[in-house]
Amino acid sequence: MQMAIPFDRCMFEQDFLRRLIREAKAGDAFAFERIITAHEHMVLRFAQRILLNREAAKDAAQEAFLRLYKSLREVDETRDLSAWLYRTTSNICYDILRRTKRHLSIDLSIEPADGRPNPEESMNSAQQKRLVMSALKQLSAREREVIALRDLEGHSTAEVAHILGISEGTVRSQLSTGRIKIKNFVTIAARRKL
Amino acid sequence: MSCPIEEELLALSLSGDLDAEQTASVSAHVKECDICRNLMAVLQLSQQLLANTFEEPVEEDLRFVRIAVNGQLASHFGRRAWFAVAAVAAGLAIFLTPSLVRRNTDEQVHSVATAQRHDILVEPRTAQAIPNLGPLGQVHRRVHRVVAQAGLKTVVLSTNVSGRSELRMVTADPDVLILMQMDDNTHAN
Repeated sequence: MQMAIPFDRCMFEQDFLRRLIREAKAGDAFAFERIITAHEHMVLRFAQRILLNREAAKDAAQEAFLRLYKSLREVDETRDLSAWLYRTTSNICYDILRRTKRHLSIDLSIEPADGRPNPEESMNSAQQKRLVMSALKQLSAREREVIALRDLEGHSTAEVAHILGISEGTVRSQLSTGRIKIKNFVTIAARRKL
Repeated sequence: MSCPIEEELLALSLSGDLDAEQTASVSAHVKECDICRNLMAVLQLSQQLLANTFEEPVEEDLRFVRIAVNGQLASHFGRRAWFAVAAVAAGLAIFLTPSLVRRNTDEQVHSVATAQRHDILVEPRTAQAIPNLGPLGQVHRRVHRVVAQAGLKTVVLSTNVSGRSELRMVTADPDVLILMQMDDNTHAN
């Protein structure tokens, strides 16, 4: 299944990306660099949302691009590279989470502090952020991946299934479980505050 | 939860992940049931909190990733070598211009068929190999084929070289020094 291409990534952009992949396969370093530039936001953002740790996310993003380089010959330029990168980043994050055995600390600095002149508002925002991140930490790696792709990255259930190589039924199951866990965590936190 | 509607269905209804029949059923039930309506409200609130929690990666982090990846790939891609090759090509154009001018007279005597191969050696500046280039072989005073082989790329340049020449070039990358020697057998022998 080929992922639906968002409207802003029109044919021209896809053709250009295919050309870059072909050139990178032929050994053009600058073409590969442009591929990185085109996907770095997506890869780093996704890693941050799964790992909840800024430094670990940078490592994961770096590893994802290195794996892309090593697998470049096997990458089919006629298919959407984003799906491949999501899947690879997801695998890397899963390995990191397994290796660190949940010892990875939550990093609140993922959110920039600027643009919040009101200290009270800033504090509320930080509290909310801590709450959501703590809730996300209760989820399994797979639930976090599904939530990140479906609720934060905005992909459809079919796309999430394709990216993670699982059935749509499994995506729905992980999605509902993840959402309910977050909801329960938020409810408990709100009751404690009251 | 004592309602006939499972909580999972409520959670999935947020994103339209139910079929038409389920959607209608959930929608009708939520209108009637205070408990489920509250649950839906909390689910929606937690979704909003989730959406507001994350920002786009900051430029500093993106730059870090870019530099780290490019740094690690430099040797694979022969990027440093490409700097070197580009520099050699530019250097050759300047350095060998007098020889190229002289080629007009030499060409009648020497042919490409007798060309010998020279390597442009690209070595890390720290490597001990630089002073020990090894035997460059005998080179006759004739058309030389200069082969720059660096990493994954090979550039072949053909030109006339007269006499022993040495070209040292420092590239934009401080770790790479290009040392090219072109021997003439009048010196080597």
